[in-house]
Amino acid sequence: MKQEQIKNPDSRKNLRNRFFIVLSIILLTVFGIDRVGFSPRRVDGAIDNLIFVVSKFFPEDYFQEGGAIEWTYEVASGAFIESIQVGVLGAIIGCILAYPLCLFGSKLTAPNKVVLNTTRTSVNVIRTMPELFWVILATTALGFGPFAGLVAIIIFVVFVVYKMFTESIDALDPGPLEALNATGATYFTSLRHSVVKEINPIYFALCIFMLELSIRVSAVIGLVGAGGIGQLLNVERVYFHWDNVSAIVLAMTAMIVILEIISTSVRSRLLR
Amino acid sequence: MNVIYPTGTHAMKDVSLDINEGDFLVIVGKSGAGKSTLLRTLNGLVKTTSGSINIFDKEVTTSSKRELREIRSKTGMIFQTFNLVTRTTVFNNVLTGRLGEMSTLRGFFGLWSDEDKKIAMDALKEVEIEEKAWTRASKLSGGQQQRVGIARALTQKPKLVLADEPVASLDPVTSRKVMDYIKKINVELGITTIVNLHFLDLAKDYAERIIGMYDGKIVYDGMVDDITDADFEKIYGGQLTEEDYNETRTN
Repeated sequence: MKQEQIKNPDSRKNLRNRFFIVLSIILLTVFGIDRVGFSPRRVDGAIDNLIFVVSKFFPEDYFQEGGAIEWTYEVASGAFIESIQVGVLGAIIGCILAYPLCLFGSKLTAPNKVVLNTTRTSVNVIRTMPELFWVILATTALGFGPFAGLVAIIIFVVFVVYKMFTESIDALDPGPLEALNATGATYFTSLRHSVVKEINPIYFALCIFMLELSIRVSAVIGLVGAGGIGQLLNVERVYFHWDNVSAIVLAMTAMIVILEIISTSVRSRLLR
Repeated sequence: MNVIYPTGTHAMKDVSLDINEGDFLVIVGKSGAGKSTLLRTLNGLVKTTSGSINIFDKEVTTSSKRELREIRSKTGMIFQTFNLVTRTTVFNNVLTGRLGEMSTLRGFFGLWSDEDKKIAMDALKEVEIEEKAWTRASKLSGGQQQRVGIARALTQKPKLVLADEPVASLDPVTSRKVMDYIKKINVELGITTIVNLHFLDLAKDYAERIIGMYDGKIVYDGMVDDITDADFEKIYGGQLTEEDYNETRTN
């Protein structure tokens, strides 16, 4: 007796789709390599360059007295603290400003369609501009330094929180809010006793994440003149003090790792 | 109370209904027949396209926000999915029933008076779940959550209770317990109660008067003892096979 073959009726179509996906990935890769001008000759000597740069990054006096590590500890720590201050302040102000904006920008909690659509459209349009644009705008308007950085970070935090938090609110069960409306409570009171209670742990977890993110960002945006450690890094780079640059980068890495460990553990506690 | 509700939408088609004070009314019909819509129009959660709804001598359709709040505060609502705020305690959930009576400021900050707390605790006692008052709502079973839902409605000191499929997410035994509590508040406290159900057998056991709905229309309105097999078929679309019929019967 012949064994009956079990076959998915779509198998031919699936195979064809898979073929096209693989083909387009290959084509895109080839096209990309062509575009960036990659050729084996370019890689030639790269190792020597790398060794040269590393020797500049880590000179012999790196750990000695008067070396880059000591310099970072004595000179750069102030700039570090400035970056952290700007990041923390920016995250706090940004998160607070974003909360009502998110309530107005979610289908579930907006008081009416006009508010919802106005909030959504305006935030989505403004959000399309990259963060660097805001930094450049702020430094142009307010001059170089940490205050411009703070303004840029607040804007950045508001938009990131808006994006993530409205999605969380949209995903909530609308039931409890409806139940509270049905008791005759007013709009804000209903929100306060249903949605806000359900969403707060998610919000606080997001705030902790934003704290981590905005300290990182505040360290980086200094590169375009917004104060803090980034600005110092840029100055050292311009003067070719590669050992100082590498020490700052190492310190930044350590800071980010520590931040991430703290923020992950706090967030997991909050959401439990 | 008089409810006349003709509309262009298909949810409700020329529905007209009189409900007497102290009634225990059960609305039956299959999913999508418009039972929930009917209940929600009564407290203004769903806006009517045309027609009029008169509750406590007030017109719902033309009422101001303030009047609507007043109507809602006298109308308790119980939901299929309980709709409790899961991240807070049972007691806090029940207290929210007082919000309709409180000023916006006191309500917003949750400044409950001692009387509010007493009313809430009494409501919990009414459904015999006061020992769970300080438990998080998410930790309760479905039946317990629905009892809290009933308590929340009772805390409003309502004149009317609307129960939208209160037992559809519960097992048959728990269903009966919850229905017993709803019946109890109707009988003991004399609160007018309207319950949506999709099981006719439960309806028959608890209802005094049954409204049958099909496709947004009222197809039956009468006392529970008078309902016939023909009415039964009208409510459920008249396309029942013998088997469906027996199954529902024995359920």
